[in-house]
Amino acid sequence: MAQDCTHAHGRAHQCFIISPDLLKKLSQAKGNSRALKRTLQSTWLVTSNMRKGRETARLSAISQKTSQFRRDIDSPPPEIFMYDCQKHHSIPGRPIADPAKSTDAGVRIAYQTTKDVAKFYKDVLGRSSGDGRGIDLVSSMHYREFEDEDYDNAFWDGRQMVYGDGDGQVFKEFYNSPDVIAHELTHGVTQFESHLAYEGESGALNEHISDMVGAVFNQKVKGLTADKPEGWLIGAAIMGAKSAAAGKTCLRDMASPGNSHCLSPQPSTYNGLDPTADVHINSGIPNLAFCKFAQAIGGNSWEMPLNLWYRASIGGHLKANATILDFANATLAHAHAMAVDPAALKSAWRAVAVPL
Amino acid sequence: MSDTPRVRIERRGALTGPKVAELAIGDLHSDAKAALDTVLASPSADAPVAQGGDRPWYRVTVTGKGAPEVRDVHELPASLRKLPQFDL
Repeated sequence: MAQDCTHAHGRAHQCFIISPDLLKKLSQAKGNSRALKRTLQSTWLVTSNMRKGRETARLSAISQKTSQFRRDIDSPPPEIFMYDCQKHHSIPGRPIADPAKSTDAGVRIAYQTTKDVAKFYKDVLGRSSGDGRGIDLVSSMHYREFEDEDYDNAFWDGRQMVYGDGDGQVFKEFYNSPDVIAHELTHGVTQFESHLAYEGESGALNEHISDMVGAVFNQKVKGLTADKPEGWLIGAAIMGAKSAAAGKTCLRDMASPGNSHCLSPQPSTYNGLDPTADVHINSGIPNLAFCKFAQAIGGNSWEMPLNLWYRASIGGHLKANATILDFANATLAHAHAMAVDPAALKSAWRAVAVPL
Repeated sequence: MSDTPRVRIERRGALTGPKVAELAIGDLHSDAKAALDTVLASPSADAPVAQGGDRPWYRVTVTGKGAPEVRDVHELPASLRKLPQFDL
């Protein structure tokens, strides 16, 4: 049987007897029991973790910062700092003195939206900024990885948010979408609050939490209740002309993860989990579970549904390699703690084939 | 599995998630072929997932005869970097 050999950190090869591709095929093979699929997924995670030794250091750093759930009502609002990369790759770039009065409309939008997301966290979840203690929120605009290439992405680099302008065809300016800014800022929250490794199912949960807060923030901004389909789209405002012409109305759709209108379609059930896939693929499973739960409850997603999910995701009780099932169980535990009837919650998770 | 050498280039991470290109190595332009040789001659970078956050990175996988080779890297030469596209 072929071995999968991967270099890491300049160390000698670490070779695994079963390649990720084969694990992927086996875990999805018809006829395999659920237990066997889970074992294959776990094996893949273990081998991946072995290759990524530096992850240990990251987790150690996070664990020092992790605290139990705190409603830091008295913490001050975060200060918001904006920078302009001026289409270069150097981060953070040139400081923008007064972003609220910038002549750059994109800067004004990103600054105001970041401020609104921080207020949303404070008002709805009682949280002050990424660390829960009012840490500064830093954003860099007009980023390019290479000067001669438009940058079609946005990311959290472990310390701050970074936004590209898009190529105008596939994507438009990333900072123009409220859910995108809430998504990236939430990666900061997750970094401070959980041990979730950014790979496998735990990585999918990390992405899910960002998508979930992003969508719910967008719903609140637009006054959309949970039954409105447009409130579950991720990246609807950043689709460029070429994407629109191809019928792509969003990057992802939490209510319909596999829909052809998604630029990046996802699986809808736990049975479709791909253990080797990028973390943005499997996040479709918990995305749909949250959507179904919020719709079953009805009304505003940013009330009880968001609070329940948020409480389940913070406090450092999720393991580094937490699975989607682990997270589902955490939501159930918090439902009991919050005196929420678990019937709708169980139904939502079961609808995506998570055996709760 | 075919013995024809193939390369899969996947950009992962960041907001937008994966973009993939998969093709026969024989179909690569000479610049891309040279860049691939350079990538394969080097070890993977520090685990990209350990950088913090959701910063993008690339996974390059070569299959064909013998063991699949995988490299996880932060950056790729333009001739390879521009190959993965969204399916539009």
